[in-house]
Amino acid sequence: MTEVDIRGELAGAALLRASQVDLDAGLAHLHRTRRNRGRRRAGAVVAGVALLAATTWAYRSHDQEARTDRGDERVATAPRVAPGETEIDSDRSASGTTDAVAVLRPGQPAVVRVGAVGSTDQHVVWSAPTAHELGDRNLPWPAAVAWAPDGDELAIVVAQERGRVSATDDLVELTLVTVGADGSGRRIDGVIGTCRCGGEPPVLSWSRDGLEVLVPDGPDQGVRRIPR
Amino acid sequence: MVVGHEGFAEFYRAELPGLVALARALCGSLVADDIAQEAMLAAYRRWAEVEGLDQPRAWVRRTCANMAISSFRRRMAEVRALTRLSARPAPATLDEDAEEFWAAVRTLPRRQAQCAALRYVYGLGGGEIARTLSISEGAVKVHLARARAALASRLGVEVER
Repeated sequence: MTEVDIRGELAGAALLRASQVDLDAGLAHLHRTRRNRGRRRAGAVVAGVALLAATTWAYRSHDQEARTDRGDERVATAPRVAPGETEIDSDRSASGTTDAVAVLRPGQPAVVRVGAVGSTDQHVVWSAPTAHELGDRNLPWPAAVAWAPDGDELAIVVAQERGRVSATDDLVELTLVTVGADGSGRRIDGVIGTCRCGGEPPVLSWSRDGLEVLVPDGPDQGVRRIPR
Repeated sequence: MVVGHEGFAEFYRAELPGLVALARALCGSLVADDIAQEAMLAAYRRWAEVEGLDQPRAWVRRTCANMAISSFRRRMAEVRALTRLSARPAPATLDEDAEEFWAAVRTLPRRQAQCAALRYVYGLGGGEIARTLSISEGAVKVHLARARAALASRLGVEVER
């Protein structure tokens, strides 16, 4: 037995001693979570209808400048990221009027929202499938977003760990998705590369000929060009 | 307590403390509970299938080890943990030596860290680690040897004794 093994066994025993948990509370929480996720699926249908209505309304209002031009009152300015959300990436349109924000949040874990700068009128143009829809597959998330120079399209790099949750391998597949500014006309280019994405995220940008994705590491490390 | 699936509660009680320790070994204390619970939830959702496996506990340990290593899942768990951080008790602290050891494990490459965590948290041998991670026993030997060498260097101890 090596010195490392001795240190490891002592450290393992210390960790087990420090990891005692309230099992009854944990079981109850697990049961509640599963039940709530079932209810959430039913609620998703209702939420979908509400989202469609909200999207239509939001795009009629367009952005703060348009509101000002029309003589409307500006909507209240709010942070782009709501409580409990974590921003992954964001991009502001070249005109400076519209933000696209990729966020993680509990419940519906990964979404890309688009809306007028500083506005609460944001709507979802891409969202990860629910846990129920995913089954054993790993959750995809929006790793990078970038507006087209003319602001008519938004490109999203969606990352997803390969394999099932019980057998995830080291690599993350990157898929390119483009949507219109209102979320319509979704185009999926398929897997454009794989990375480990352990430290640095991929970087997405538009070029004269199309899109460029800087894959930070892994077998496809480097710049991938996707013509348009 | 019966939670929907017969036998699951017993499995949960037996496995959860070890899963929390495994997750904490691989990703630190803040999100270990959430990752262990997430692995259990995955088992619970397909309990009929998992229960029928030769080694249900190997399945849930593998799932937990994968989730703990995944930077994205860790980030997700952090989001959840932060939203209710104020409502939960702080995790028990480890002594300095143990904290230093696990911090060193977390700097290892993914497979080496998983093999080391399974070896030292559960005391598993090479064959059991191989079955848990669904890799060959030879690969486990290589990963453990490299992990030992890297840990020895980082902890400033001798490789052989």
